[in-house]
Amino acid sequence: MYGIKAIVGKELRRVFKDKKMVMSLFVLPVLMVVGIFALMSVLIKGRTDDIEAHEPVVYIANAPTSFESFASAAGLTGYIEPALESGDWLDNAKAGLLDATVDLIVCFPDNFESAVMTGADELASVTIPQIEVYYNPSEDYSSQARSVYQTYFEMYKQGLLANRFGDYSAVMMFDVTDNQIQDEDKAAGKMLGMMLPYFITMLIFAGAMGLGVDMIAGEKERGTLATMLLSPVNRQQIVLGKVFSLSILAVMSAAVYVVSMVAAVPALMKSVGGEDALSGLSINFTGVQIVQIVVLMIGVVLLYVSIICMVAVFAKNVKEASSYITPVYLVVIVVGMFTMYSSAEGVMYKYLIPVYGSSMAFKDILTREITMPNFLAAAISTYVVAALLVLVMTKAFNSEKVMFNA
Amino acid sequence: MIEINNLTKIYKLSSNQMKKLKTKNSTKVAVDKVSFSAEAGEILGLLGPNGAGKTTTLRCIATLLKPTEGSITVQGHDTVSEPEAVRSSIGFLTNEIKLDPQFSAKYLFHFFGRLHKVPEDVLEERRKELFTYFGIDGFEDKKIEELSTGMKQKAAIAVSLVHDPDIVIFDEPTSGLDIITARSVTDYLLELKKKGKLVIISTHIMSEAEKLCDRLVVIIDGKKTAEGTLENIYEATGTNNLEDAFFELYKENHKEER
Repeated sequence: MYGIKAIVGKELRRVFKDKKMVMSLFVLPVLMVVGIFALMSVLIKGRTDDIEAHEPVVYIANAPTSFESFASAAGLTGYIEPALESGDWLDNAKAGLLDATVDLIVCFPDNFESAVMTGADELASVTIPQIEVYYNPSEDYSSQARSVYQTYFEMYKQGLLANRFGDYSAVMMFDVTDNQIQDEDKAAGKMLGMMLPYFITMLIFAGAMGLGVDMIAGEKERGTLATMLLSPVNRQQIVLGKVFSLSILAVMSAAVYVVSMVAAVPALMKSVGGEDALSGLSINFTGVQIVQIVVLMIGVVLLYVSIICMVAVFAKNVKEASSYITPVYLVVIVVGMFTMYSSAEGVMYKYLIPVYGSSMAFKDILTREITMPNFLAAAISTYVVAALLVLVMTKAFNSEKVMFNA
Repeated sequence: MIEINNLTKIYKLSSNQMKKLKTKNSTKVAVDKVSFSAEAGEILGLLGPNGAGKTTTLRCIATLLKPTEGSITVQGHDTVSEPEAVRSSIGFLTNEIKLDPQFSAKYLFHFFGRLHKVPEDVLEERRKELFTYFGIDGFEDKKIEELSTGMKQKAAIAVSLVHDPDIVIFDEPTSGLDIITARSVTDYLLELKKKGKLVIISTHIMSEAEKLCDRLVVIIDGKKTAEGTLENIYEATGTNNLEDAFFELYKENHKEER
C-alpha cells in the first residue's frame, strides 16, 4: 500500500504543481464549454432576431377584394401587387427568389373570388381554387415569409368559411387536445440514459488519454520509470498507483466539464428562449439508483483508465502510444453509440460484455428498468475486466522486453 | 556480497534490429558465461569497450534484466526469485535511468525514500548529509530540469543512495561530468568503500579504474577475459599500465566479425 500511496501522491503533485497542466485539464474545458455555448447562443439569437426583424418582399398577384379587406383588417401590409400587364413579371420575381431579393410570390387564380363566394345553398357547383405560392426553402427570410403567410391564409380561410356557413364552428367538426401522461422521471431518465454512457466515455477518455500516455509511455521514454523499477516496491503497486491517480484525475476533469455544463447551459438556453428543451431534464434519483450509479461509475472509470494505461504500457514511446490510443478511443465511442439506440432487453449475458454491458446498465438504471442480477452482472464484469488488465500490466512491468525493449 | 555464476544473457533481435546490426542471427549474445564475485569493502571495476556487455551485466545484478542462463545472488538473495530483497540492498545508477524533470531533488529524494520504506526522520538526516556532501543543498527545491548536467548527476547519485544500501552499483559514474564533479563522485565512492560497502563500477576510463578499483574484471565481447588486482593483470599481460594491458587483452580476445 505504501507504494500506491506514494505514487498517487507524486502523480497528483505532478499535475497540480504545474500551472500549464491545471490550465489544460481544468480551466480550459470550462472556458471552452461556456465560451462555445455563449457564442452559439449569441449567434443564434442574432440570427433569429434578424429574421424576425426582416421586412419580407412579397408579391401578391391578382389579390381578390375579399383578401384585400381581410389583409387590412388583419394588419397585413407591405406586400407588392405586381403590374400583371407586363407578361414576364412572374419570371423576374422567380429569379428574385433565387437571388434572395424576393422572399415570397403568391398568385391567386382569376376565378378565386367567385369560387369562394359560392353560397352554402349552391354547394353542388363549388370548385376548389388553387393559390400558387412560390418560395425558396434554402433562404431563411423566404421560409419565414412563407410560414407567416400560411398563418394568414389559414385565418383568411376561416373567415371565408364563416362567411359561407354563417359560423366557422359549424364546419370545424372537432378539435383535438393532447394530454401527456408519463412518469416524468422515467422520461427524463430515458433522455439522460441515451446521452450519459456516451458522455462518460468521451469525458473520461478525453481527460485521461493524454495524461495516461505521459504517465507511463512518457516516463518509459524519459527513463524515469526505470528509476522506480529499481526500488523494492512491488510492480503491482506501481501499476495500481498509476491507475488510481489517473482515475482520480480523469474523474476530476470530467466533473469539471459536467459541472460547468450544468451551470452554463440552462442560463444560456434561457437567453435564447429555449428553456422548453431543458424542462424534460430534471430528474429525481432514488437511493438505490445513486448507489448503483456510483458503483458502476467507479468501475467504468477504472476500466477505461486501465485500457488507456495498458496501451501506454505496451507502446515503446509516447508517439507510438498516442497513435495506438486513437483507434481504441474510436472503438469505445462506437460501442457507446450502439447503446444509444439499442437495448440489452434484460438479457443477462449482454450485461457481461465489457464497455457495452456497463453502458446498457447505466441506461437501465436511469429508466429504472434494471434488475439487481443484471446490475451485478454489469458491475462485476466491469471490475473483473479492469482487474485482469491490471494483472496483465503487472506482468508487462515485470517483462524486460516491454520495459526496456530488451 | 555478490556472486555471479555463468551469467549468460541472450537478446532476441527483432527483424528491425537485425537489419540495423546487419546480421542474420536472430539472437545476440550480450554476456557469455561470465562468473565473478565481489566482497564487501572493495571496489570492483568492470572494464571493457562499448558494447562489451558491462551494462547488461550490471542490469542483471540490479534485477532489471533476467539472466538467460546462470544465476546471480546479492547478499544471498537470488535476483530472479527474490528481486525485491535484492533491490532493497542495492543502489543502482546508470545514464539511461533518470530523475523526473518536473520535480525537485528534495521531493524525489523523499519519494524514493518512501518507496524504500526509509523512516521520515532517518530520511531527513540522510538528505542533509548527502545533499551537503554533493553541494545540492542550495538547489534542492529547484526542478531537476533546471539543474546543470553535473548537478543532475549528483542529484541522481544522492537519490540512488537514499536507503543507505550495502551495495552500490554505478554504471559509468563519471561520464559526461567535468573534472571537479567527477572527482567528488570518485571520492565519495572511496568513502563508501571505507564504510565497508561493496561498490561495483563499470568504466572504459583506464585512469579511473587504476585509481579506484581494488580488483578488475575485464569483459570483451561478452566474455570475461581477465580478473584480479591491477598487479595480477599487469603480470598476466606483461605490461606496467592498464591501457597497455587492456590492449593486449583486446588483441588476444577480440575476433573481427567477417
